[in-house]
Amino acid sequence: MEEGAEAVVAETEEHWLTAIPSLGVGLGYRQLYQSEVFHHRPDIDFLEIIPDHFFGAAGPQARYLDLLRAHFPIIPHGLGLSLGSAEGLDREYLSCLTQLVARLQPPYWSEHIAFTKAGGIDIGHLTPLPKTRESLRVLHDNIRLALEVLQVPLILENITETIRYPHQALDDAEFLTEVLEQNDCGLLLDVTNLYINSVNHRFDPLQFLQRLPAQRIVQLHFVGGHWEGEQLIDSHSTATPDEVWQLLEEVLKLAPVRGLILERDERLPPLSELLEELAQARQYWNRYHGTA
Amino acid sequence: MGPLEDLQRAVAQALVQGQAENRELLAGISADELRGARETLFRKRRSQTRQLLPRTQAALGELYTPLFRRYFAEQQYSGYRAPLLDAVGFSDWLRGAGELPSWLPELARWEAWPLRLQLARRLWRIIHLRWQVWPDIAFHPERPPQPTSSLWLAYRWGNKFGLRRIV
Repeated sequence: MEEGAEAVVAETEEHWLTAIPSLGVGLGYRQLYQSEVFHHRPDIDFLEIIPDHFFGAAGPQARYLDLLRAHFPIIPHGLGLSLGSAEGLDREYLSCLTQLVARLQPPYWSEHIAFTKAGGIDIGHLTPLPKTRESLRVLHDNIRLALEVLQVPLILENITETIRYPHQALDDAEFLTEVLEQNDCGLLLDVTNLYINSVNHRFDPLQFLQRLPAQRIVQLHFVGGHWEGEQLIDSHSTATPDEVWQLLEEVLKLAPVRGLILERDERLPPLSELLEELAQARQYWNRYHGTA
Repeated sequence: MGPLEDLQRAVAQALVQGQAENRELLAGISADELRGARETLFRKRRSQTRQLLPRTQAALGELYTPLFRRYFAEQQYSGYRAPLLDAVGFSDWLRGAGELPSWLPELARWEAWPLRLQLARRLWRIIHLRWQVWPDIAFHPERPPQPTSSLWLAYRWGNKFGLRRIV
């Protein structure tokens, strides 16, 4: 990261990154736990919701969302805006997201450095972009439009690199840094995805971390995946492994992270098991960032 | 259409439909990686449908994955309601799958009705079943369902759904 850019983030008091509150240790909200989360409020500092699940919420679902918001800080984590789509943003999705973000009034929202839609096809899964100047331009145009409409700061998540493109102009760390700096966005560092990429593509995740703009790391994701043959898959289906905990600790040492989210999606266990993982995350959190 | 748009369209076709119209655009991308990414997409849709139709999945047992793989190759849905559409779509597709006992597609249809209500934004509907489908049929194979006509009330309220036998 250029020294000047880092100085802008660190020293400008009005910069939005410095105004983000410390959120603590939280959970990706899942409907299975819709009642239990309220009984464990002291153990869950904030929630991350998938906005798609609440689009058009009315009646009891809208009242439930208001109840969640009354008890927890909520961060909307988009899946379908497809910021990397060269054909432009899904305007209907953007409209639904805008309404939901206006209702939740979060300190920031998040999405992914990926595309999910192209040529009238909805892939249904986050797909990597080629690390080229054209991809940067597309991301810039789409992010600028989204920010103009939503008027709330954006943090962007790194995904697993399931496809590698030929003739890439930048390496992964350069590309990620350029995206964040060009668009003045924060980073939602998915520590599990970083670990998975480092295993599948054989690089040192700590060296990768050193090349990122640490001041822009706002939030972390952590969870476990599984092996399919010799490939590690980001299935979000198992408990966080030791290697991810170690990497998470390294990130907390070097970045002013505001929140950690356990992002379990599949093979959902009893909430008590997830709370045990949150308790472990809180030990790291308290060690480096104090009590939330 | 620019170069990146062309490339993204080819990748989307390869992942969702199994092949791209302009295969030359994918030159230089590992075929194994494309297959792996398509397999990840398959696993995700299979898992989402399993979570929404757990009794159907349990009743199908080892047949669930190969049947879902056939369905996956034929049908795709888009948008934020895609998981619901997939589950309902799979339950409909099972009726034409051929090699299943007649009661099994009926179980899937019964289980998918609350999802249909959610998609249609309806609160209730009366449905007619031709087989006596117990909720726990998948766990009692020694008691196969009988051909019995019955009426059920499918309803939803907020995030809660239910099925109640009326007659």
